[in-house]
Amino acid sequence: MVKERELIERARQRDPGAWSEIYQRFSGPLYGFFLYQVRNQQTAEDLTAGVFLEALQAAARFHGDIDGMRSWLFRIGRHNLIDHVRRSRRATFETIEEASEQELARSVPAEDPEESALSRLSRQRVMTAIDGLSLDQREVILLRLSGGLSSPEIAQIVGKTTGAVKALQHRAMAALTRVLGDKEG
Amino acid sequence: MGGRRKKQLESALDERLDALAGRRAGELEEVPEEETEARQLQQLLAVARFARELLQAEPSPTAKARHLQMLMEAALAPRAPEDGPEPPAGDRGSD
Repeated sequence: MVKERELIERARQRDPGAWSEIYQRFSGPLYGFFLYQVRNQQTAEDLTAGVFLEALQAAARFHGDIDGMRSWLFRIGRHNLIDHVRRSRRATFETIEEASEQELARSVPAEDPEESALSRLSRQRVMTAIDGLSLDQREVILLRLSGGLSSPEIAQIVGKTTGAVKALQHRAMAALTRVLGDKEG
Repeated sequence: MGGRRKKQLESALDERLDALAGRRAGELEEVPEEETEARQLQQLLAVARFARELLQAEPSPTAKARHLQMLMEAALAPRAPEDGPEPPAGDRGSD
């Protein structure tokens, strides 16, 4: 805990080592959230870098703990993702939930040559199952499973109540279980 | 399923997803009383575990190196008078 408080304090002072550590800790979850929304590796990487650069610029005014930092990074990320979708599709929606299926890019992440065929198939099955969710269910489940955020944190980020987030994640998991349930073992 | 039992199942799933993400210490509560609901919860968690594992991702090593270089340069650059957007109110404490 003391180490984490020190890390945040160093980050507020724009210490390069602190930002390197924060990047190592949160870049994967953020990248995963972006990747499974935009389905494009380069775009997901650019969005990930953008979050950290933006956060670093505003770091002196951040006051919170390490979980607050995670939430803050995801809030920036979600905002930037909405901006990205708006710019790339010239749409006029206000939130991700209002974007139509066609307004999110649908390309599949680049294949990793080291990933086994079985793993690739499984990932494809999960992505297809996630595509079957509503946009708000998809966002909640990606923030939860890929981002590692709690329901109250997600509620703050997406502007819903914690109860609404719990209900969405339950419905989303039930839908994923109907599609994947017999294959997950 | 009644409203109260539905909420109980949603909360039980939520607690277990916290535990799955390593964000909950201690014992879990709110186990559904009905056997069918307990079984349903087990199924949901098995799929959550499976999906969570497959959804883990990392930027490529090249991208990571590039991002870290950009961050180092930005951290060491002279600060602008008005640096970036204000963090949301929820992330600002009472110094």
